[in-house]
Amino acid sequence: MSDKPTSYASSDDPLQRVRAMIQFTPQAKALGMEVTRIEPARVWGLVPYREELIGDPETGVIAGGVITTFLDTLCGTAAVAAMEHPTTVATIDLRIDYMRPATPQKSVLAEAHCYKLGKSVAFVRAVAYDETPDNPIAHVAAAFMVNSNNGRKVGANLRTKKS
Amino acid sequence: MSETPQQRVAAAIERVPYARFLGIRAELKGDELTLVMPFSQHLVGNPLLPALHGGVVGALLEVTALTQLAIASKSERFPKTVDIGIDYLRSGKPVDTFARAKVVGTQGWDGGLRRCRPPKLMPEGASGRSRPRNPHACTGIVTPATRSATGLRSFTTPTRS
Repeated sequence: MSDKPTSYASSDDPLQRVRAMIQFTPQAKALGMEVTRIEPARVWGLVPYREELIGDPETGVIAGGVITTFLDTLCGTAAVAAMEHPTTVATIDLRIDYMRPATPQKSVLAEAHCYKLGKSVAFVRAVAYDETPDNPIAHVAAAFMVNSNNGRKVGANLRTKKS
Repeated sequence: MSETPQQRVAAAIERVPYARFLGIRAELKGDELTLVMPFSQHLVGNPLLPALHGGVVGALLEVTALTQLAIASKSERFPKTVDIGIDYLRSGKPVDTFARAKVVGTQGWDGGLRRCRPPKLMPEGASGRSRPRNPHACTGIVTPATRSATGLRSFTTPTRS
């Protein structure tokens, strides 16, 4: 695979495209996140259980931050999956409601749905679960800025002063 | 030299596997806690800019809120998150990032109910969409390191001991 992140929109197969997108996201890769299925505006994914990701050593329950990162990424992917011409997105806000702790030793699964794609903002909902979506771990509502890199050059965050 | 409860909590967070995964370190001055997340390549979410992953910034804020709440409630156990809301102000730069939390309302574990208010820590211009609807406890945070990288409110409730 090419190291050039700009190639993420190049593949014709949507699943390949989002998988490439995940591979270009170091934190998503570090979490071991996978995208398993994709439909227009909908994505399914998972994070396998790993001891490194434990947030409560007493119970072995995975950390809330893992779910935050996973769902943030998956929601962003759903927003991209809703687009005819994929572009970059950035999270504006993200709200998570926890219903119960994740079951230790089990992968966290999730599905995300971009229910409204606007010209500049995409709205996405997601649910995380470990068996079926009927018994959710968490619900998420998020908003994304569409075409977030517009006008910003590669390495924009490396400059010390705003021009 | 004996450890204070605050020191024990600050040390406890560094033993949490996920906090180690992120590379989080706790710095405690009196009751004031600052969590430090040194920059590392695996924290990046956008390699083009490059920028920290929003989820990682959210995770840092949540961990800080939980730790600050444990210190404030003088509990050795970490609270459980009921819900969390993050408003992103800008992308997190690829630098060391800091987080602080402030407990702004509590119920049940230190007496009566107080109204939750948006925390004073919120930087100017942060979203006015305050969601103080959970009466149990609420915490507000910013990461001041890179000058208000992100602002948020999170609402958590401590476990019963």
